Amino acid sequence: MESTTLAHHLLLAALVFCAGLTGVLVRRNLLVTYMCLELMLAATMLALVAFSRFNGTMDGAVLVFFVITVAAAEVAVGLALIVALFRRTGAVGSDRLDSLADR
Amino acid sequence: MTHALAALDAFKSAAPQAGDWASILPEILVAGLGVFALLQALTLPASGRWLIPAVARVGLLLAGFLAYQAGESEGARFGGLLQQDASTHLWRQLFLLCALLTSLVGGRFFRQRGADEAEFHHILLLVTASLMMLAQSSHVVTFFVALETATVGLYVLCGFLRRSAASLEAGVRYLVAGGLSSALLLMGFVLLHGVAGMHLPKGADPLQFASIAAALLGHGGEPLALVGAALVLAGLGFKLGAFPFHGWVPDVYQGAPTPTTALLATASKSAGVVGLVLVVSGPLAPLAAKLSPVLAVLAGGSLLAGNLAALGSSDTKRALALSGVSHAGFLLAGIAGLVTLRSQEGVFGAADIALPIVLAYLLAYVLGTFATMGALAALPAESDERRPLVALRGLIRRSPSLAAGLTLGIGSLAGIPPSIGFFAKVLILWVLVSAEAWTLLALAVVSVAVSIHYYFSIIREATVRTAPDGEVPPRIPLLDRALPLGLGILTVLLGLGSLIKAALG
Amino acid sequence: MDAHLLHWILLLPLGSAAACGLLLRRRGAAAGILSIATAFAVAGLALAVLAGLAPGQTLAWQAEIGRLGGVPIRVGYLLDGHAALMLFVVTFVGAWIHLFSWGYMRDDGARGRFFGGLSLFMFAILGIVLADGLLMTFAFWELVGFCSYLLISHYFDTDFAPPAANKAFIANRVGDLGFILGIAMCLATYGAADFASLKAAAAAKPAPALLGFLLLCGFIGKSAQFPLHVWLTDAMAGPTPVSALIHAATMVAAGVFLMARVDFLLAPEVLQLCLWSGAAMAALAGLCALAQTDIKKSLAYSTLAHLGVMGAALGLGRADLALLHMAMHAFFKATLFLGAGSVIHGCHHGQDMLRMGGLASRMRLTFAAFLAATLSNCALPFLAGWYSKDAILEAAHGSSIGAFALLALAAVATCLYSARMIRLVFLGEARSEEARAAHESPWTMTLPLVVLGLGYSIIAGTYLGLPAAAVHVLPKPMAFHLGAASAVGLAALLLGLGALRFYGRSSGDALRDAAPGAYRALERRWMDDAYGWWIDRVQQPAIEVLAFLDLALVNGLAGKVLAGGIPALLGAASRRLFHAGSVRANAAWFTAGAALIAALLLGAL
Repeated sequence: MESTTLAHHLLLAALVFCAGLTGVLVRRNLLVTYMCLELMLAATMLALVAFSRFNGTMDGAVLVFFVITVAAAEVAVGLALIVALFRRTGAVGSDRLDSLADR
Repeated sequence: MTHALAALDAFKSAAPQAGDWASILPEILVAGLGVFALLQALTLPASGRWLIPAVARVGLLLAGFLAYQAGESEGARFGGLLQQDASTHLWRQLFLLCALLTSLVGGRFFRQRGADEAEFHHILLLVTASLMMLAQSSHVVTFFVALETATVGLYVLCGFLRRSAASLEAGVRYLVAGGLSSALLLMGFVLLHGVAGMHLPKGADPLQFASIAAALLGHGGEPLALVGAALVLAGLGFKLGAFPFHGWVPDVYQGAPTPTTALLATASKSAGVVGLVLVVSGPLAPLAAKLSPVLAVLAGGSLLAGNLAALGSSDTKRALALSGVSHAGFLLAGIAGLVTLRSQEGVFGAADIALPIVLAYLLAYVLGTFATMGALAALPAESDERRPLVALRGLIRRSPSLAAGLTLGIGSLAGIPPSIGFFAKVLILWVLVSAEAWTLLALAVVSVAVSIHYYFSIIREATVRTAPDGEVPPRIPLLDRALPLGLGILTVLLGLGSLIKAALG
Repeated sequence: MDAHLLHWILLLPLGSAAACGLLLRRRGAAAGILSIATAFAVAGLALAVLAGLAPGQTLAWQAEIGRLGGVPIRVGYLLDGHAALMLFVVTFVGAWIHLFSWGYMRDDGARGRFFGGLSLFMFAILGIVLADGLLMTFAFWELVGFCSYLLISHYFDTDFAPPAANKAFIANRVGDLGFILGIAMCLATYGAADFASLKAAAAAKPAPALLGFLLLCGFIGKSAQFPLHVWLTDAMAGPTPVSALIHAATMVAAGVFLMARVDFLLAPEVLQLCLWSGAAMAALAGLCALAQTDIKKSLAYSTLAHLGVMGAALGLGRADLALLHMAMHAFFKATLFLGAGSVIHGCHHGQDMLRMGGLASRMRLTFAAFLAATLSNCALPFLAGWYSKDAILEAAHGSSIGAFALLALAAVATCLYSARMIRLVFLGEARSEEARAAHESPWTMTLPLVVLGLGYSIIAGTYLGLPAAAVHVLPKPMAFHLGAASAVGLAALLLGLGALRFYGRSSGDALRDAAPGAYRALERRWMDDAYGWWIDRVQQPAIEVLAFLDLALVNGLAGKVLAGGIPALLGAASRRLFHAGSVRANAAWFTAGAALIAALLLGAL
């Protein structure tokens, strides 16, 4: 347990964060994009917990609860929007969003 | 584990003190009204539903009065979760004004399109309450939660017209951009908190803005802290709609229902401003010398990107959205000037006036935007997301009052004297001169000149060009016509007032 | 002597004008009574002020009414000898003309508007008389121009009055441009625009010639001097009392008065110009009067001739003589116009002299006054006109023989057209039904004729009935002595007697029958033709070229390409660059932005 340092945890968090970010950048399916966003949030929570543990403060861990709550609300609204859009247009491809443009 | 428990004790010590609840009475009132709007929707018969917006508007006025009454009261609330000062109450009033005007613009708009007015007011009020909380937060938890609550509410308001693909698409685009930005923002805060936690004495709360600032004072050069600061700025840049985080702006503004667009353009942009001001004068204050060039780059980029892209735009809402990006540039320029002045002087002087100037600019922008958006919302259109410039043609014949309101509003946004917008722009330029930010000053002046082109092409369509005859214009209700006109006239009156005040002073 | 009476003198007409214009538009009788009562009250007040003013005494008053930046805005009065004379002439002649208007305008449907205009005009001209500086003068100067516009276009539904009003206004604007530039130059040179400071400053540092020329422009426009004289003859389109008040007695005299006030600012070159153009105009306009059949136009040319004489007097450096002639001219020319008005009224608004004749027996009082004023106009010794005109001729003789010759020609021409007028209008047989049916006018019209014509046109030259304060600044009344001037004057009178016979020869115009070429040359309006040629042949083609360039360059190049094309290109390019519209592109910009900020903060850039 003591052999893993703060740096290890932060590195892992950064990797997860970047994985999520890469997903947002390259994936075309809106649902997957959205999952990747949640992955990024998870990475921040990992970093928060790590900091709390190694700095000996509880505050970061408390923030995690708020983040989880906020993420839940975001997911609820976000999924509703994506589903509604799917029902309306029959598409979940982010590249197929085409009703808005300067014409 | 013991130290963790001790920290928990410290958290307990942040229990509410006497007067804490009273100090957030306006927020409680607005949020309570939001919940009440839903209850009304459940209990009121169809004939009594007009009460919902009426109650909401009265409540907003009352909250505004309470915020005004709070005057100069200041101090830390809830054990340092909130921090109030004189400007807090001004921000509150600004957000309440935005909410009131959105309610006035949106009422009939949503009723006409078969959307639920009660639900709209419910979310509007909750968003407003959380924005008001944001303006006084001094802690990562309150800051983040308030910002996210508002953002999630705005997702809903963007996709509020569930039968319109454009509205839903705007909602989804806003969702992805907003989700990404909140992830960046949160990661930024986490890194800052981590750096603070490493260097702070035991018992200090590393999520507290003041503690972060204290830690950064000695360790501001650490890469982890700087990356954190960059991510926080990026997250706030999204809220502001600043370059290069403005890609979503034209699409979302165009697709969102026009009242929501107005709210996004005003309240949400103001949230970005207040957030940025809080961050750069709170946790990131020790980095001021490094921040000011970054803010200047963002400001200059926004001025250029917004104005250039708005040139030749054929859609009114898109043009206004891109002009909003350039306004974000102006606001950022003001904040950059503020930061520069602070880092140079270290004492209060010109920097003291810079914040009120940014607020004044926002007020001018809010009035001009609502005059314009109100006129757009009142105009009948085939679909809300298609408002080409040519559709405004001959407006002066169809509805002189709307054309006048639109023209005065645009005039204020463009900064034509003697509107309030002109004075706001002059004041920002004054800040830049004081901060000796010559490049930014030159960019700002050039961008004003460029913006005249597209602003005037809107005015020209509405007033000079004539429409083909034959169409019988539908009647537009009095309130919908009076609001833009009244706001337009207000911009001129306030401008004249400032002129007289300046002449006397 | 307190200055507060001057407030009343200035503001009473304004009140009357406001009441007539705002409240009494449809009550012509009430407006007339109010306006006439005001005019007489002002005349009485003016007499009271002048009576209380010792010779040589100056009445001054000044108040600051506001500040523009750091510059104080002042109004003030300066009532010196010249102003005293002008004040008397304006209020006294003005009051009688007001009374005359009552009878003349009895059948007019718009008396409220007319009398309101008269009162406003009185306000404006009194403002010029009392003003103590160029700025206040200019303000009232413009108001005078506006009033004359209103009054000339009184018959605005005719097709000749509105163009005449426009012409008068535009010609005055041209002159005023120079005037206001002159005021600006005064401020720039001396830092002041009030007469007292200017006089002190000009004594220390003589004014540049340009300043004098610029101020002269105002005089040229208002006093209808060559080449801006063209408006005065057309201005006869207004009602006859207006012609009498504005275009004979007071308004055109305002220019002379202004020059007299600022004579210390006029360089010798300016005076030379003034002398020659005045003398030349006096001679030419006098001759032109011979070729007019409209009685009022003939009188208008006579006015031009006299203004030329006044200009020449100014040019001789004798502002006192110019003002003296202004005053005398005001009395007899007002009488002539009022007499013409009475004749026109008697002939049922016919103005053609060839259709009159034999009116002496039908309108005895009018004839007597007209004759007296005509003799004064012809400078019969010991009548009012003789004193001033002979003095000016005498002065010209002593200084420039060329100018003297021109003025002598003017004197001869005056006698000729006067004789022609008397002969055609009053003597011989009636030449039309209207002339046969002519009748004497009511007392409201004849009383002013008697006072001004039988009274002042005869006695004013001996300074009887003029206020002492004003007389003090004027040259001493002349005794009769046989100099070059008197010789010319007597010769002219004899020629006039001959003309009386000459015009009796024909039932039409004898000169037109005898020398049609000369008559046409005099009748033709050369300056109007010159302006017409300039506008049609020079200005219009040039403007058309400019309009084409505007269309091609500004509309086409700047409008379509610079303002339309380039922004559209820039806009399209930046839209393509900054937001491709796809969700992923946005995310990429986000990432890049965050990286950019981080790089900036870390100092990597």
